[in-house]
Amino acid sequence: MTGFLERWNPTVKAGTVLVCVILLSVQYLVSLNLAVFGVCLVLLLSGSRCGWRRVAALLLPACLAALGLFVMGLYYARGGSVTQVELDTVSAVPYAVRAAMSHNLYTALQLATRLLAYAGLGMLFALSTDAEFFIASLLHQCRLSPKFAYGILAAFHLMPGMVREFSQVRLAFAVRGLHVHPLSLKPIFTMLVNSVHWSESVSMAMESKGFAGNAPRSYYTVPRVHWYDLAGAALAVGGIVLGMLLLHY
Amino acid sequence: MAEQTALSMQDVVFRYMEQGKRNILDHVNLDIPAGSVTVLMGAGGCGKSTLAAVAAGLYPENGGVLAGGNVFWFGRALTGMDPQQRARQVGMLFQNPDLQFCMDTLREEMRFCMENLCLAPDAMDPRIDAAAAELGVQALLDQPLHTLSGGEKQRAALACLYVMESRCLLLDECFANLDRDAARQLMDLLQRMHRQGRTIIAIDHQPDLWLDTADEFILLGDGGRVAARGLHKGNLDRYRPLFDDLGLFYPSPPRPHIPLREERAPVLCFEGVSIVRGTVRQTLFRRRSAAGPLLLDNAQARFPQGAMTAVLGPSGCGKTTAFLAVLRRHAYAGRITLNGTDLAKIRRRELYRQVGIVFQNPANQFITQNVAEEVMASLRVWNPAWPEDACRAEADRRLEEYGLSRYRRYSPYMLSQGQQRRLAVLSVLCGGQKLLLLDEPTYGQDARSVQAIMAQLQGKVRAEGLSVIFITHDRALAAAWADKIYWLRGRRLEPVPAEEVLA
Amino acid sequence: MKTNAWKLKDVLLIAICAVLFGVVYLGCTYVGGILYGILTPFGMASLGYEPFYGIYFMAGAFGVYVMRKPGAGLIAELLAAVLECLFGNYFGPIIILSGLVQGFGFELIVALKRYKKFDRLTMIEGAVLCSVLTLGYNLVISGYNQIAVPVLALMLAVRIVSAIVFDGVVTPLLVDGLVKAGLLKGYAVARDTAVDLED
Repeated sequence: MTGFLERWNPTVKAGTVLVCVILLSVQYLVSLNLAVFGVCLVLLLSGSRCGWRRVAALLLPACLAALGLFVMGLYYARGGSVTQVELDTVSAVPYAVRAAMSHNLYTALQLATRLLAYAGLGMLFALSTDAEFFIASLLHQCRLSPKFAYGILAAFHLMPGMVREFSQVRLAFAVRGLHVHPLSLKPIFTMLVNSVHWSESVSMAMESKGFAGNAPRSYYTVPRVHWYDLAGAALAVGGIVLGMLLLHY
Repeated sequence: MAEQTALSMQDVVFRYMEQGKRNILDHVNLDIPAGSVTVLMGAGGCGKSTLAAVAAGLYPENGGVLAGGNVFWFGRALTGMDPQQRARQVGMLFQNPDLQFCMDTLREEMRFCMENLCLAPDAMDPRIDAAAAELGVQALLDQPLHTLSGGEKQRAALACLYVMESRCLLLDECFANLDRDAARQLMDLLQRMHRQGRTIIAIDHQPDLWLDTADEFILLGDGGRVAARGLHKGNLDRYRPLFDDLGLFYPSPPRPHIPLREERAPVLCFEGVSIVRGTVRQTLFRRRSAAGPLLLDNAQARFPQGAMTAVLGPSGCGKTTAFLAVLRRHAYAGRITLNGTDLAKIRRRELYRQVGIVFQNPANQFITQNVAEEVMASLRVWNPAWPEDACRAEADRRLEEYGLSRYRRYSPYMLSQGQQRRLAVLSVLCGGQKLLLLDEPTYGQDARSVQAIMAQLQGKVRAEGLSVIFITHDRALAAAWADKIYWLRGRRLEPVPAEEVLA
Repeated sequence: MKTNAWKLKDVLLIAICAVLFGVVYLGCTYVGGILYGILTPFGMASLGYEPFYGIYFMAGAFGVYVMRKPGAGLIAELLAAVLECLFGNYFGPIIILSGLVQGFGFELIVALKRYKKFDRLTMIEGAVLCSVLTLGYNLVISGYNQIAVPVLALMLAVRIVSAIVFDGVVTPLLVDGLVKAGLLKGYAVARDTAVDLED
């Protein structure tokens, strides 16, 4: 059984997320940011099949990023920056620093919570959207050309094989006595060589199955935009606009 | 043009470069009757894969120039057909099973195929069910394709051709990476589809599997031109000299070679080794090894020094993983010793000075963009004290020895598969490694290249005391070259005599 | 001649390479993460990922340099962004927005040169513009306008250096290697580069 988030038309869902992000980018309300973040998490855990483990796996880096931004804002907010010297002698000049910090604290919170709100919205989409469904929706709702749609899907499904091959290339290099680190260009070059071969082979395989870039084709399922897809979008955008009008901090 | 001719190629000229002088297909003329099973055989580099791609209309769309000639399918000209119309005439099965799909599961891939042919949506499910029942692939329908084995992937790809109802199946070395059982299963499905009236054209460099099925073998020479046709099981022996001339496998029961009599000291020993499949996954929180099925269970083996040992077994049974364990790249339980020293006590770099490996795809291990440089780079790694001209002289000597000096200025990626493998062996042995691991040496190569490399290694084994362990699913290869054969079955490594392997 | 049309194999090449660059970036985030951790107490955390920022633009740089036709930069970055989104980045579709900005960076530079010059200098200019535009994006969308100017300048400087290294130098270098190895036959980059093979 799929949750309502999974059934939400992916194009409408993505559009909603983008509109929300643009709305959030013109406001500085910590409470609204936190509210968006919280609502997204609740919706994810109640309205989709993805378990808390997957949410946590994405949440952790997001929280770390937010923390980093928070500390950055605390130290280096525009207008009230505290230098390292002042911080080191924090007890000596308590008043000035505290004043600066209190101003900065709010800025820091604004920055960090904004990132969390974005992450919430992003995860709402990422964790509840099936790749095939999203691409099919882009194909029908955004008129994405089938050539690009199925090209993306093919590349997407090559990922597991690519990771496997990449680790084998690194192993092959190590056995030849070369030290490889994540940024070594040689394994990347070897993988590019493979990528060129793969793109040729997969393209031929798809064409031999009758796939012609822009020729008419039938579709087993056509994702449609229903009233409830739009209602969901209106609800989300309306909620944020309302929050912007009613909330003050 | 008669409807009775499935494929007709008339004076086809094809080359890769617009201004290039070398024609890959040089005035090819070929007619293949409808409803037949025809096998096209040719040595590596004769253009047989190119011929298939041109016949299927995939070239020149994906590269190269059709400089002249015409191709007809069932009497209709190929030019002017769009991919959709072509797919109704001919469906193709490729050599590399990993690169044939664009969707997640077989069911979705089949839908993709039928969508391409504009089939009505409600006609799709019945067709999928019918195909799955007929070919016995129901179990594969909803599994992620990337988790299937090579043989399963090929059967899945064939099932796609089934739902498209292509009139002709064009197979480009589709058995190349399959072990005997997987190949037989696939052959069984092909025969079934042939009985339903489909024409089958296969490209292969090994006739063995086709002997009972093929109506005709056609031998291709240079430029993809027909060297001989009308061969079949009954008259094949008359063409034996031509097979040798063209460098093709002749389907005779291979003579097992005479193995070493005396028992030699082992270079590598497995003492109660157990290996579990499963990659060690790095999750966000901890390293977690997903315990998979047991591949090796308390295995014992002694790989003799100065000899060639084969490890036989179907694909996916864990042979390569065992190699990774020897390179200390996969966890194992038990004890592995190299020349008497516990592997766990040898530092990795020291280990790699003693053990070299050549993978299935040798192109994955090239570190430079020039053949001579490739060898020199390796010499430098292992002999940092050598002066530059000593390296160069030694590299030249080795390239000469392996017959590659002509290509010293080429990029390694421009060499043929066989040359690439030779170059890989050569550069891997630059540190004076005494043990060479060889993963599937037949992969993507014709008889002549395989013979060349195995003979070369045998020479080194006899003359210099090199030890070679090669893993393969090819029993004939094991019987012909190995001094000792281990069979990986039932999660054990069992030593078996060559006669048993061929039985 | 329809030189402007994208073939299926072009789309696949760019998409597969975008996935590859994504994998490389993922490998770097481990290093970036450590740097990030070290810099956090100093309030410079976001600087931790900046040295690898150029990898983000590699798909776009690769697309422009290989395809050499109008729209290549934008299309390549959009392909990469959609793929990134499918792989479950926590920013989800927001990535598509930043992909658009990145693609625009390269597109603008080559468009100004009327799609005729694709040398190293062009790529470096594209890389710099990309860095500037993405920082602009950060200013507006991520709220970096709240951060002190010297810190932003430092971030931009690191980002520009990273972009120049990865997109102005490394990407063309890798592609030229592919051309020399005879692998990109039929692509615009191979037509523009003479290859001398024989002795």
